[in-house]
Amino acid sequence: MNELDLVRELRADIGAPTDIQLAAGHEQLLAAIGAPGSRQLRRRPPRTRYLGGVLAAAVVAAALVLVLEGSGTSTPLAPGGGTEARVRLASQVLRAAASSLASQPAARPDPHQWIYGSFVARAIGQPAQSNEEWSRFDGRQSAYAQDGQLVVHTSPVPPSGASYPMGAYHALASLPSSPTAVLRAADRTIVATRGSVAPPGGSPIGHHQTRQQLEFQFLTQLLWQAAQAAPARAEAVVFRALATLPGVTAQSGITDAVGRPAIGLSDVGDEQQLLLDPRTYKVTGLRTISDGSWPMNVMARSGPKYPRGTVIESDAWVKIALVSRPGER
Amino acid sequence: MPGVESDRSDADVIERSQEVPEAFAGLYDRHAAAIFRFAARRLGRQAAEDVIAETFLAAFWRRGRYDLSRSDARPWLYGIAVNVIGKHRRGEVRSLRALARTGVDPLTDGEFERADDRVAAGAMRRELAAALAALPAEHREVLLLVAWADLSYEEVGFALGIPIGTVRSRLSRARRRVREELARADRDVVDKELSHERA
Repeated sequence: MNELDLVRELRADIGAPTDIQLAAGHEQLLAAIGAPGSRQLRRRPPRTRYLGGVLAAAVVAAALVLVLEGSGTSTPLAPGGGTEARVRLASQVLRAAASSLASQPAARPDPHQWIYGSFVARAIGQPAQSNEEWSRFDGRQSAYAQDGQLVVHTSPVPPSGASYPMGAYHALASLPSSPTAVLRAADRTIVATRGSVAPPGGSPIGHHQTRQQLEFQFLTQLLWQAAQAAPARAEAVVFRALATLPGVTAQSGITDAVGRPAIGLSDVGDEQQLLLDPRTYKVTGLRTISDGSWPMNVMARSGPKYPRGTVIESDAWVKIALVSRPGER
Repeated sequence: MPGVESDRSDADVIERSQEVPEAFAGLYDRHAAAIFRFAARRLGRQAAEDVIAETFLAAFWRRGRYDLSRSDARPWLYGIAVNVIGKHRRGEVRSLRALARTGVDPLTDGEFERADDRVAAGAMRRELAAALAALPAEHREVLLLVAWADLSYEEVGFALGIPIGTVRSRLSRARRRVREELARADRDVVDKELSHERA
């Protein structure tokens, strides 16, 4: 018997709760459900913090959490100018990014290529978390350091979806080469994923978000997932496709989780920003900004809120490098 | 129609609760008992009642941020529960130390248990409890989510908001530490027996 089995047996004699023990929590939940405000919940896009080997099959569906129609009307985030200025800036940034990336050569790593990544995740009120990991491009192996020793893990099954670098790379690389065709491809995937929940006679895309919001989330999710290795030309086409969407905003003069300058791309009124390096336009991070409705204590709905513009969460790829073997940085 | 509800995934239930908040109670019916037991194994049954109440209230208010691509909500709920349990961390360690010191588990005291079981398992339980109490909190968290909540590495990563590599490294460190503690305890027993023989 190994130590994990021994732990499994510890206190295994603690049985299921009685109905009475479950009743109090049930009552409190029902009281909260009936409370004023429980129906006016803002819906936010997901905060996908799971990177590299962990993104699982979220390539499509994670981008598609519903946001109530009307959320796009919230006021722009301070500082950095009004919505109109940010929409103009987004247009410039997206054009510049597309032009810069389109001229870069395709650099598809070899399947056995190792990729080093160091990552920092910050959340307000919590210590920053950093992580170093080596992933093989084909996702069959990954490695991490433990007590100065390198531990190499071999996946027992082939990875799937965009949960590993090559899958995320191919998700982008397999997109068509024109912006309008990219948007049509995005729509097909969105409809395939959400089609069954669209109400009869409702919008063919999704009944809570506009087509543009869903397309923006889908495409930025593809970019974020492929941050470790992305086909530059496909990125360029995605940026051109994003440039055709109304309401995309950019914020300059901001910094990522480790203090580097960044440009934040978001949908109007959305608190989530995809962060780009202002020189290379490579994806470097993702952050969430309070729109003024984030409670400081999630248990106390009526308590103080984080002021608008407060950075709630910020994640950054500190370094990504192709290396010849795990352990190299 | 309960039959229809039981066919729905957790994500469906949460999505529906965006329109009809009452639907969220379905999630409680599905998962409260398992999370209660997880919390009770760490803090005792009384504290576990508070933990599940607080966990599901927090989950209800956060449901708008749930990633609907995850059909199984357990990792999300355990992630919230772990934060709630974390507030009682001192109590958790205290009960483990008490079990290690006395052989009597303050959490299961009063539970039905055969006396011979208690004796047979006694030494091992004490060593295990000592090892768990000595683990860094974040390592114990990963170990117990795997051993007691039956979450996969990926699910533990999601629950704790850490990359899967970190899950693997914390779990392997926790397991090694437990193994070492048990081995040390075995050596102590042998040493004691030897000194008895000499005496």
